[in-house]
Formats: sequence, structure tokens, C-alpha cells
Amino acid sequence: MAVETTNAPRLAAMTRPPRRRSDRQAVVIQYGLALITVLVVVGPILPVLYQSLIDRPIYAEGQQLTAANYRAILSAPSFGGVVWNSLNFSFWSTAISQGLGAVIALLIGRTNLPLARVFGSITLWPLFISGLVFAFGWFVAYGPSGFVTLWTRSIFGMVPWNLYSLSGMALISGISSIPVTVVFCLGALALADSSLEDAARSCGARPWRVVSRITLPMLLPAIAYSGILNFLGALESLSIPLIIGKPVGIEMFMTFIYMEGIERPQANYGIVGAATVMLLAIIAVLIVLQERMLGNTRRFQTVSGKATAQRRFDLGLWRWPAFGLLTLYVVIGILLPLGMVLLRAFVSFLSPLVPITSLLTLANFQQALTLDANVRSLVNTLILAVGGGFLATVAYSLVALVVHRSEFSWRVPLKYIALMPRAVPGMIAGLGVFYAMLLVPGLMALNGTIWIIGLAYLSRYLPTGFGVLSPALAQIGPDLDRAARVMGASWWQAVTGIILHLLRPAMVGAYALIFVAFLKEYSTAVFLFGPGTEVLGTSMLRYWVNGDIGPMAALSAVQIALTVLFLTLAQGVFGVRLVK
Amino acid sequence: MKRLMFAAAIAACGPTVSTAQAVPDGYPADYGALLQAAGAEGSVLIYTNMEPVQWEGAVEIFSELLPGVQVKFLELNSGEIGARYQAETSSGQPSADLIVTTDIATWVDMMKKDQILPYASPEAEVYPDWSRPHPGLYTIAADPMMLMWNKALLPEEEVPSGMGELVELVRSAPGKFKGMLTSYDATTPYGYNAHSAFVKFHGDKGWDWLDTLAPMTRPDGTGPMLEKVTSGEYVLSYFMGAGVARMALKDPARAAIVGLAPIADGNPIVLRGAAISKTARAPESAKVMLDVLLSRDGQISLGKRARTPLRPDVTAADVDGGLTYADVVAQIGEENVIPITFDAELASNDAFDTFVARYRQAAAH
Repeated sequence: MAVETTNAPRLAAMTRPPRRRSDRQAVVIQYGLALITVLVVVGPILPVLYQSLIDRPIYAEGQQLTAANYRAILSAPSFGGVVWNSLNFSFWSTAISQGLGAVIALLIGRTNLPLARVFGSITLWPLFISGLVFAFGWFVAYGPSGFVTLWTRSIFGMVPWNLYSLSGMALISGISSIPVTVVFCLGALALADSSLEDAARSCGARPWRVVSRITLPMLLPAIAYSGILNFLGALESLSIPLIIGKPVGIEMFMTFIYMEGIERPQANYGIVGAATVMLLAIIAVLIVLQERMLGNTRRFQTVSGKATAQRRFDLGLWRWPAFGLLTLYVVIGILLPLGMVLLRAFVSFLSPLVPITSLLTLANFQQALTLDANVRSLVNTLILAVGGGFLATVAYSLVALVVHRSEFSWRVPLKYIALMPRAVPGMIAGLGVFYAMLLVPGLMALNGTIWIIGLAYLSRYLPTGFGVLSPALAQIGPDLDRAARVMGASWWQAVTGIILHLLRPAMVGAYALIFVAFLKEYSTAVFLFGPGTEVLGTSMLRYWVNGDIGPMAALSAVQIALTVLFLTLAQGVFGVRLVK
Repeated sequence: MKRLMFAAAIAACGPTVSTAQAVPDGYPADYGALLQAAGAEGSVLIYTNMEPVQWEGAVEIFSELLPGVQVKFLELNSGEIGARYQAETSSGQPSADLIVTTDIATWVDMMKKDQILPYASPEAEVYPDWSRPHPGLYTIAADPMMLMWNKALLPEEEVPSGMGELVELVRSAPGKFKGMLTSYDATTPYGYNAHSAFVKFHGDKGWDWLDTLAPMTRPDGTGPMLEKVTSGEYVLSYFMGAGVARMALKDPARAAIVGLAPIADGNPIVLRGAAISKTARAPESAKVMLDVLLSRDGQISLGKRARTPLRPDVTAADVDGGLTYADVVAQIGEENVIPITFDAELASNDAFDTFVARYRQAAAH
């Protein structure tokens, strides 16, 4: 029997329509952006990869190829235990940050929680200071002779926690990563559509079921992307393991790499390079897992051609218990440790044996802020964070648009490339950029200027910006740009005229995270800054290394104040609130 | 006629009249020419792990000699200075004129690669030979690593005078000291330098002592050690960098809680080296800064700002009661001072690995 042919066009048989001029323009733009992205990301990573394969620092003479760096890591007797510790620590840290983060974002962003905006602001504060300083605040509050510990012991006779343990460290790391999850989720929640939840309610679902079956799953892309970033962040974190783990002998992957690679008479950057390659492999695995978990992203679309409305959940009887729990979290997890840092900024030293009132002083601020180099580093860092952060956010948005919103043939590899910089530990990222600067013709003109630092930061935080924008893009249905294309708009006009505007809450979220990251960053700048282009992070780290904790705390206090001020201003200027 | 004679008289006074900058006393006659050449350089770039605050006095003295020369600092951590310098010079990029750092590997590297400008400073003779291991390489500060303790937890009569007494004290009451002692991490270069020099000085006895102390000790950094001894989380820190501690103890409230004293039976000393790079763009200005650092006034300015001047004729009276090398020698005797000199052995990864393996053994007891 002959096979019946139908009149319905079969996709496979469709021939491509001839390229229109605006399509050509789109292709040019997409290839251009992709090329720049590849250069900016791969440029610094290639020297690092090469470094992993040679037997001496990349700038030394007489280099020879060798596999010894990989062998050294894999065959180290403590490698197994160290990897297990790291995976354990990272897993629990991510579980805490994603679990608590999603719930907190939900409570703040979609319910009638009292004082939601205040909580929204405070929850972000741990992100505003460096991990080192936050860990310091924790140990001053909850360490063996911390204030809270001593107070608890005097009342209850014992202390139920031990900060110097894997679980203690995972808790601090988790709490300091919650802001990332919250920002990601709030960006996604800003685009949420109550009609889906209403549909569920009209089918008879109780509020709890609606939340667990619809609202939370809709957050899955945001949770997944922030999960990757947080997991990798925990894996490559150095400050918490160094301050809290080292004194009690808890060794992690990155402290292990740091000890074997950097903290030796002759530094072995090859080992750090090899570690980078391993982390790159882990990132690839995580991305694959994430794709599996998210599946077809069409099911996350909430923004389409139809009008949407957002309604806040009424928590009813649960309003005040939720308020109580959140207050408890905020006080114990954020206000107390940060309060200790602020306290340390205003006293000459801290000791349970001496009443604090007798030690109050402004000397730390005086010392920190009257130093020319510090004032310069503050100004430089603000320029980088405000201006550089803005430019970076725009750049990242364009990359996200090309990956998620175009027919670009290399979309998928570009997505992997966009997430690669997360794998490069800070201590070697700067060396990579320095070498890229030497090798790429013309880039040398930027040596010693603030621009090369900006470029390095741009490369390093692409994953963060890209990560915030991707889930938000997944939520915006294709109807809108298709409608524009039907009307004759080019690809560029459609995405920048429509999608970019819908993306605004997510962009503000990205800008907030980028601003904060640029403000805190230091390790990338080590090889790139010169006299006159110092950054805040390097100044603060120097105080820490020299034992000047007072001025370091003072600079941290200034950092937090600036960040809170800036974010309040930015939300006003861009007319978008992170928390509605 | 009178004018001609007047001009001839001026000319006969000699070249000292023509230079604007004053040549310091006792310096060679041609130093004026060096000052002139330096004045033309415009700026000098210094890579250092010494805080800018501690440089203030030296910069003041330098600016009086060379008002037209701007002093630029790049403050980096010890390991970073060497890495950055080598990365820049090997690729022909502009780098430091003067390097001032405590990092031993940096100096050993520079000595091996012959990157140090062999400048003979007029101030050099008063310094001991061991502080000038290589032509052009000088030592400007000698920071002792001392004992620091919490006075409330360790009453005066129990405070040990040296490591030997500390070990006896710990052996007599191990429960009291477990996890309450601290020092720099002996498995990282900074701590390794001190511990290794200590062991070398005492021989087998040193390892015997470390076998007792290491299991009781928690490794930590300068800042946390100071904070935690103050709060009572630690009882005692050995090999504590005295510069920071001394500065903190200027506060009488802190000095009431925290005690500081040299180690009578062998006190390691961290040496801060200074040298000019052969590839310096402003070598003459660098020479002047080096001379300032080594001069008596320069050393006094360091002593007043938490660094320990090495110059033998600088005493506590000169530096407002601060610490000087001469005082440490006076307190414990020259034979009990252990300067951690820039030895190739301390910079070798192999010696480091061997030591670390033995130390880990000691800590596991």
C-alpha cells in the first residue's frame, strides 16, 4: 500500500527560507558577541591550563612539559580524605543555602510576611562583606571564647554547638551563600504569574499544595543555577577553611591545593592549574546534571502574551510564626556576627575580661580612612563596582540573550564557556589575566590601569551574571519576541526592545550581585594592580595578614554601609525593587 | 674687577655650593652627584610587604633629600612580591626599583639569578656581616619572634623564660595546655622558617621539645593569635611576631591582659631584606631610599612604628620605649639570638617537605 502523503508540512522536509538582511545582522552580532565572550573567558584560562602541564611557574625559564602536577594531586595520600571533606562540606553548605534560600525568598517575595522588605534587605548583608570578615564575625560571636558562647555557657552551663567542625563551617558557608539564592529566586519570582496558582486553587488545591507543587517547582531554574554557583563557591572557598578548619586540622580541597601550591618556599602554580582543570570538569558535570534536572525549560514559562498578575499569598495563621522564625534566623545568623565585626571596628580590642565601654574608640576608622592608599583603593573599587558593574551587567545580558534567545548555532558550547570562569580559583585567575595581557597584542597598553582589572573582573563574574539572567529568561515565553518578529522587527530589535525590559528585575539582581562581587574581589587583582590602582580587597587582606584587625573591621563597616546605600539608590534609580 | 674677584671666590668654594640638596654627614663627596641624578628620575617604585604606615618616617627623610621624587609603593603579601617581580622582569615589563621583604625564597631566587644591584651603601659598615649576605642585599629590620601570653590564665610566677621552661610547664600540666598553645603553622613557609631555625639551633633537643609542644599547638595567623590570646581562647603563643604585639601593647588596657617577652634560650629573628633591582628604572633614587632606611634616623623612624631596627647603636631610648635589636641582645645575650638568614636551604622545597613530614609526626603524638 502506498504511503499517504499529507498536506501538513513535515518539519524535516521544510527548507530554510532565504536569509533576510536582518537575519544577517543578527548573525553578525551573535558571532561578534560569542567571539568576544570566548576571548574574555578562554584568554585567561589558557595560560592556566598550560601552567598545569609544566614543571615550573609560567614565567620561569626552561619549562618542560610534565604530568607531575596531576600525579601529585591524585596520588597524594590525603587526597581521598580531602576530597571527601570538601564534597561533604560543599554539599551541606549548598543544601542549607538552597533550601533555606528558596524558602526565605518565597516568604519575602510572595507572601504577606510582616516587614518583608526589611528582611529582604538584611538577608543580603552577609554577601556584602568578604568571606574572611564574615567568618571572623562568627568566631568572635560563637567561637570557643566568643561572646554568645560565654553568655550561653554562663546561663545553661554548656554550649550545644562547636564552630570548629565540618558542620559549623558548612553552616557559616551556607548562610553566607543564602543571599545568592535569594537574589536568584527573587528575580524569578518577580516574573511569576498568579494565574497558574489560581488555576490550582480552583481545582481545589490547598495553599500548601499550591506552594509545593507549583510555586517552588517554578523556582527550579533559579535554584539550579544558584546551586551550581554556590556548590562551586563552597568547593573553592578558602577563607572559612583557613580561619576555622586549619587550626583544628580539617583539610579541604582548596586548602590542600593552597598548601601544596602556594604556601611553599617555591610556589608550585602547576598544582593550582591542575586543580583548575579538575574544577572545570566538575562544572561540566554539574551543568549536565542541571540540564537533566530542569528538562524542557518550556514548563517554566510564566511571562507570555497574556496579561499576568501577581498576588501575594496570605499566610493566615502562619504569619507570625514565620515572622518569628525569620527574625531568629536574621538575628542569630546575620546580625550577631556582623554586629561583632562592627563592634570590633569601634573598640581597640575585644576581650571578655574587659568591659567594652572602656575600649570604645574611633582610632580604627581614623587609621583606615586617613591613609592615602586606602582612600584611593576605596575610590578605585567604587568606580569598578558602580561603573564596571553596570557595563558588565549589560554585557552579561547580551551574552544570556544570545545563548537563550537566538538561533545561534553555537549556543550550547557558549553556555558552557560562560560558566567556565567559576572553576578558576581566584589565586590563579589574576596570573592568567596577566599572561593573557602579555600575549594578546595591544592589551599591554592597559597594564597598570584600572581597565585591566575591570576586564579581569568582567571575565571572572560572567557566570554570576549569566546565572541570574538565565532562569529569568526561561520564564519569558517566546510569544512576545515572536510577535515582534512577525511585525517585522529584527532579532536585535526584538530582544533589546522587549525581552531586555522584561528582564529588568533580574538585571537589577545581577547588578547587585556583580556590584558586591567587584567590591570584595582581591585575588584576581594581585598581579594587575599598581600604585594608584589599589583595590579595597587587597587593602583589607593586608590588614588581616599584618594582624591589624581593628582597621580591617573599620574598612568592612565602611564597605557594608556603602553597599547598602548603593543598592537602595540603584533600586530607586532603576525603578525596580528586588523585593516588591 | 670686584665682581670678577667675587665670582672667582664663589667658584673657588667648590661644587658643594652648586647642589641644592644637602649631602648627609659622613657620606662620600660624590654623593651630591648621586642626589642630582636621582632628582632627575621623578619617581621610585618600591615593592614591599611592610605596611605604608611604617614607611612614613623614611619617606619624610627621603623627601627632604629629594623633594622632586615621588615615592610609589606596591604593598603585597610576601610570596606575591617575588612572583610578580619575576613575572614582570622575565617578560621585560617595568618592575620594582627597590624591594623590601622578609620572604626568604624571593632573596634566594634573586641572589641565584644575579638580579641584585651590587650597591655599596655608605651606612653599611656598622651592620653585622651576617646581615649582608650578598653585595647589595641589606637587612633593615630584625623582628624577634617572642612569647606572648594571657596574664589572667598564666600567673606571673608560672611564665616561662624560654622554650625549655615552656616545655617543662606543659609537661607538668598537659590538660591545661592542650589546644591552648598557638604558633605560626610550621607547615607553611613563614612558620617553617622560625621552627626550622629553632630546630637547627638546638639540634635534637629542639625536636624533643617540638614533640611535646606540637600536639598541644593550634596553628594560626598573626591577627587571630593576638585576638585569641587577648580573649583567653589561647593561653600562650610562641614565635609570635613581636612588631604587631608590641604596637598593640602600647595600649595600657591591653598590656594589663597580655604579656610579651623574648625567648631567653634561643629567640628566632625574622630579617627584613632590602635591595635594588638590576633592572630598576630609577636606581639612583632607590639607592638614596636604601641609604635612608639604613641610616640612624631612618632606623629610629622604623623603631617608632612597630618594626625592630637592626642598627646596633639604636636603643629603646631612641625609639620611645619601642623594641630594638640591641635591646633584645642586651636582654638575652648575642649567643641566644637566632637570625633567620636568607639560606638557600630554607628556600628549597625538598628541605621544606622533609621538615614538614617530621613536624607532622611530632604533632601526631
